[in-house]
Amino acid sequence: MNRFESVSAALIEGETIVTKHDGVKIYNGHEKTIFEDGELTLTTHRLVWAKEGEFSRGSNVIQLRLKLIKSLDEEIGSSMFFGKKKRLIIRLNDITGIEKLPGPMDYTNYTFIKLSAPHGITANFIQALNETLMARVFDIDSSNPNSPKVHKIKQRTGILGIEKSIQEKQKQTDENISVAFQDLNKLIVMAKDMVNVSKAISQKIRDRQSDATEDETQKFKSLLMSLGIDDPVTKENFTNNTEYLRSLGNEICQSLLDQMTEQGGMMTITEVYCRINRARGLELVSPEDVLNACKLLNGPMKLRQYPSGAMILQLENHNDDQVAEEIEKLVIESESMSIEECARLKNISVLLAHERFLISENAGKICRDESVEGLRFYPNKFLA
Amino acid sequence: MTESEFDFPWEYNFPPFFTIQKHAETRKQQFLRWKELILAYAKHKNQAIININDESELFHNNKINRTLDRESREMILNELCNSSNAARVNKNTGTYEIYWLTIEEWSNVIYTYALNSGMTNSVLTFFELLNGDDSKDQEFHQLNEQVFMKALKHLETKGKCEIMEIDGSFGVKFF
Repeated sequence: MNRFESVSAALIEGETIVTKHDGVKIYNGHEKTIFEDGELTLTTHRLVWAKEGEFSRGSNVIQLRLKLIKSLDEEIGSSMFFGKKKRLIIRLNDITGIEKLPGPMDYTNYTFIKLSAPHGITANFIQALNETLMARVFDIDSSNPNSPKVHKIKQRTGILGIEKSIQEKQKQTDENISVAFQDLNKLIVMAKDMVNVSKAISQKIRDRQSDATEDETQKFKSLLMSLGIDDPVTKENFTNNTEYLRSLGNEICQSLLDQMTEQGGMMTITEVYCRINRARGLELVSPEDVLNACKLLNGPMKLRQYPSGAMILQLENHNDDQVAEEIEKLVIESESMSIEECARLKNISVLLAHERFLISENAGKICRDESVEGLRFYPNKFLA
Repeated sequence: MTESEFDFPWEYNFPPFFTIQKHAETRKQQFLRWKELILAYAKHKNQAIININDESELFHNNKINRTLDRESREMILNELCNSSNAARVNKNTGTYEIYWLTIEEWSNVIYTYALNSGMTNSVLTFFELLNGDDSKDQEFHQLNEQVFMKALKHLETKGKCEIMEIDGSFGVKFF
């Protein structure tokens, strides 16, 4: 509370009013003060508290400079009459060494104040305050060469000075981090909107196909595709777990069918997991869900566990005999072959290549050679 | 017997031959080839005792740098024992007697020879049977004495001969 200053209500140069809040009561720490039921005005530089109408009349009011605010917090308090309401806790910076006009209180132990209102502080106000703090318009002013640079005058030396500078650096880092995370939150919000937009657009395209030329539609669709799956299956949309997994399975089939065919009809479960999450973008699914969804698959693909323990999703029309012969042909062509060579040649993962060799070996098409040089496979001349 | 170079079969230069195969049918064929190779090699060298711990060229192909490991050698020799083509002499040293003809077959060969050359009812020493000029063309010429003894003991149980010991050396009388 000792951070407040008594001033006249006039706006300073470059200051604008952001928003207002009625019926605000100020607490010094946890203690009530005489400042009750007032109008709180948020400007780009200050928080101004006044009795209703006094701010616009230009009377004397009390103000809190925004640059003194360290962080914001919320507290849910219960009121006898109004049920739950939100209080805003404003944590304040140390004011030692900062020039300050006299205010309603000179000394206090509390480093925070609380704001409350009969129905609680509205979320809009809190958000506005947050954004104003983030924008840091008040800083621009203080870097203005015309105005006195308050904190630069206070150059300190000695251990105290060093400590002070370390403290300031830490503060800066803290702020940077919170700003960064704020951006991330915004990104998530924006991304949801983006998905909605793309959904809406694709709906429009579907509705009036004739308006756009074939080429344009195609191009646009491919652009939308690169955004990933436009309507991912999420758990919230289902009450029944099995139903959810079944839909997820369908999604896996639809989105991976082409890639799987390209890869020769099989894909390891880990690769399925990575690819499906890459395609979903933000609505990630857990490995367990993917596995369970694959287990339920009954469509064009099915899950199969190989004797080695590797789990592989493969096309239903996938034929072991065909694989065995294909590998045999490959091995005969090059006389002998290692797993890595095969993986490179066929552009598949080493694990998959290994499984294919085992299939072929179990069919008696090839035979193994384990030596210090590693594992190689040869055509099966024993059974020839 | 002339000491000519043993002519190894093609498998010997085929690297997978030295790795026990996982596929059952393939492994069966592989073991069969190994058994053939060992018997043929032992016969060629007239070597009735094989020690699986020896770094013999039989189990080690320098040319392709492949070795059949000890465990696999034991597996194959056990197979040979099962088909009466070998017998374990000493488990600790890993020595085996190799019978390119089984004891039964040997005893038949020897008895037939004895009958054909009219040696029944007279005492013959092991030495003259194994090293004598008369048996030069016979398969059992210069055969390992222990193997020879086993074959004759087998005949004795059938009542076709009698083994006797004279001054520390053995003799036999065919009936």
